[in-house]
Amino acid sequence: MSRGLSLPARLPTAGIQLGSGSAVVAVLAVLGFTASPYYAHILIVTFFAVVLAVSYRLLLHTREASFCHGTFYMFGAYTTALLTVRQDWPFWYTVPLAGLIAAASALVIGLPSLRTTGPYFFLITFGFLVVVGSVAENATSLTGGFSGVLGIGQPSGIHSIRGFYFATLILAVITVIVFAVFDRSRWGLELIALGDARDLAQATGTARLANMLGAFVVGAFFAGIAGSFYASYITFVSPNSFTLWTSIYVLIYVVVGGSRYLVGAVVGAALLTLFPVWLGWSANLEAVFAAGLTLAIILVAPRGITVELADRLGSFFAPKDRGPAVVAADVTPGEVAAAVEHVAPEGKAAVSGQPLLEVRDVKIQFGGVRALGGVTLDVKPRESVGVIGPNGAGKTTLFNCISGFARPDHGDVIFEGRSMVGMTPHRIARLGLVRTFQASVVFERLSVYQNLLVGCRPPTSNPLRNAVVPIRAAAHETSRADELVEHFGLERWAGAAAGSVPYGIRKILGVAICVAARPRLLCLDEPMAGLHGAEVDHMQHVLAGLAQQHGIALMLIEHRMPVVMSLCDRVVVLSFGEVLAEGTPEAVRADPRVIEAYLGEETGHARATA
Amino acid sequence: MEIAQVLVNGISYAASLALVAIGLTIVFGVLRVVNFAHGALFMLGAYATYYITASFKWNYFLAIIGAALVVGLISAFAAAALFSRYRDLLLEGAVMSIALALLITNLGWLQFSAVPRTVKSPIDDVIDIGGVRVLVQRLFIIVLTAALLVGLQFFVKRSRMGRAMRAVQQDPHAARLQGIKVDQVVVLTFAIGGVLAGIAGALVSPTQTLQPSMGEQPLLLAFVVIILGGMGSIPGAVLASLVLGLTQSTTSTYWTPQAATWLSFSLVIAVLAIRPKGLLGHE
Repeated sequence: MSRGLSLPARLPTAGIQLGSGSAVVAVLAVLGFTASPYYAHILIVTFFAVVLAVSYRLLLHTREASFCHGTFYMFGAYTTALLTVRQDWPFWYTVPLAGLIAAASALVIGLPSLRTTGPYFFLITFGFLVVVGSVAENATSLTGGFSGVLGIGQPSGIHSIRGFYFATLILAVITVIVFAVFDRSRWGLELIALGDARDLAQATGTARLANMLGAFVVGAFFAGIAGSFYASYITFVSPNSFTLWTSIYVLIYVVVGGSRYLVGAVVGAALLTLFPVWLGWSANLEAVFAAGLTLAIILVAPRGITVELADRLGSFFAPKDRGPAVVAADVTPGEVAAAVEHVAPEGKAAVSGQPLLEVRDVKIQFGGVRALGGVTLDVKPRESVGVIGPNGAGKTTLFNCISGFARPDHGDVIFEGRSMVGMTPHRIARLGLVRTFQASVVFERLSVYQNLLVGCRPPTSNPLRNAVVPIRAAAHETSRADELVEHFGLERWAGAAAGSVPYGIRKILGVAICVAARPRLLCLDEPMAGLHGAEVDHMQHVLAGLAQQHGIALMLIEHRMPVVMSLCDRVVVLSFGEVLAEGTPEAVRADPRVIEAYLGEETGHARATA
Repeated sequence: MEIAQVLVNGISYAASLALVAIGLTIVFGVLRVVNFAHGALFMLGAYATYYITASFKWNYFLAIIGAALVVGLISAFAAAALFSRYRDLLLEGAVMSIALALLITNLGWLQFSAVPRTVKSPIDDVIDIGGVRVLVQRLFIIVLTAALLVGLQFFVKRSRMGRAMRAVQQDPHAARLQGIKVDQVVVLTFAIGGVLAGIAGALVSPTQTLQPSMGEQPLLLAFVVIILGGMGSIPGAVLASLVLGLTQSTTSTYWTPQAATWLSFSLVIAVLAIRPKGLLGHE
């Protein structure tokens, strides 16, 4: 069972990875003593490229690509340049400061930019690159303008190119190790979850901004440190297009090498730096080579060299996956039917007490469309409430308002006595209100087991621990995930990529992830959608169990009336953004207004007068 | 009348900005591809104009059309070869356009080298309208840009192909289900982007010396324009060009040209901090 972060091809084991990595470093160390200055220079440039590519890649887990990594490199370089030249600081003192200043700039750039996604985020960060570059060129008194800064201080203890070689090799090795640790930590897992299904991640308790900003800032820190060494190595910095080209190349390294694996960033950086520099081509020819190679790789191996290779060769290293079995084979319809009968509404523990959730006169409008026109409803602890209504009635919008994905224009949402309006979705989830989505059911790139791990938050969230401790060593989370695998019957799929398991199992997994997050109220958006036959019965059995055995209140958007009738204590009918009727399933089913809303006026009258 | 002069300067600068920005924003708007090769295509437009006027001895205005066609074809070809398959992979699309830009620019260096070349335009005189001096070339740019904008609006809103483009912009899968040949739309959009880049290169070429790197600066500025105006929005690009153009001309007249750059960029950052989608951006 693979619990690592690389899927679905099984990568070589940790032992092989560590072994081959050490071998490479050993070879490079030996080269440090034997190589001529010319070759040493080539490798030094490659080491810088590796640091940049690896530090850039962390944010890429979330499927967000920034376009200002070169700016952080530049901040680091200029920090060292200006402090050593103007203030006579010793080089080594400037290094941490270079990292911190680059990190601070990432914080400043990241806060507004991370409100956007995709191409918008890409271009906004590019905008910052352009602006900062322009400032560097024009603020002559501060940065020396076009002429740059010369005579940058050398590190004490480093007197030759060999010294720089080992310093940068060590920097590259440290960077690879640090980011490999992040990859295997809870933080890495959450970043991938945010990349796969951002809404689902937030709805099950994963913070969006904190995690992404963290990745952005930490990546910048390392770029800054690299910049610091670079400035000292080259002894001179000037604006030119340093930041633009670095940002461009870093992107190309990662895409060509393959962003899924950390070694991809290393391979991409090495390939695209080593060859052109080694061949001693002119800068133009070098760029043509890089460009041509990039286009070729994207056409032939679009996910990157290492990913395509791993997929093709992976079977050599790993045991064959057992094919997933069909759901129905596991539980016979007879067993399910018997189980389902046990959960008739009359059999449930009495629902009582203070309402768990109070929705008070919630209104929301999108442009000219009044999606919700004043909805009021309650959910009591351990209760199962069905929300039904024709399409477009506002059911999902209601869920969005409750779970923090939309902000009501009017009214309040009170959960356990506390107003939820204005809270971020992940905070709401951590307070016990978890929801599912129709579209993103699971985190497809992660294994079934890892999906559960995402939901299993430790009770006290310590960022340092989350970033450093390997997730598979986290006893609390793994033991809880093991429990959930057993409880939901997911053993045979635990190691498979969630995107590859049968749809019915995926839906069950979706519920399991939510349960992992310890909800007191679980809002399910069409949990039966796309299921049929035994799968529906199985899901119904699972949901009924949640209310019965775990005491979780359920709020269920569903179109399948038989399910609603048997699962729910109460049903709320929405139509055109308002509550049309409310009551027991039987009462609602017979209500003429409800029939009219679903089937039309004449049928409504006919039924009513029948 | 100084104010009138400042206004005219601002508008003519805005027109050059808008001319380059529109091609970029159309490709982004319809295809969600950040086309870094746009600057390189602009450069090709300028060089094509040079060779058409200098070697083939055509007149300048015909050369503009020639350059537009050449660059449009190159762009369409690149789209057919590279972009039709990878529409859904945003990052890969951006990287491909970057690679294309690198390829074209550096091949340009290898082929054209740094030998400075100039394009002679028949309308390079200055006219004086009531005390306001303006280069006829710049006036021509303003007029042609306006005409292009009107033509584009017409095309996008009224023609069948324009409707297809808008359908693809809103939902490529649904468009495919409606029978729209999305691959054709991709190629056509890139072709239009290329034609616009080519025209921009041709129009701007008489005002500066030709170098293979001449596309970088306009590309950066075009990005700033479309980020400010809202990516994918043509009216946004026009508005942002006007804002930047007028800021540039007023600040450099009443203050210094350096201050103009600072102010423009600060303006962009301020707008983005408040409204990351840009002035007229949607979604």
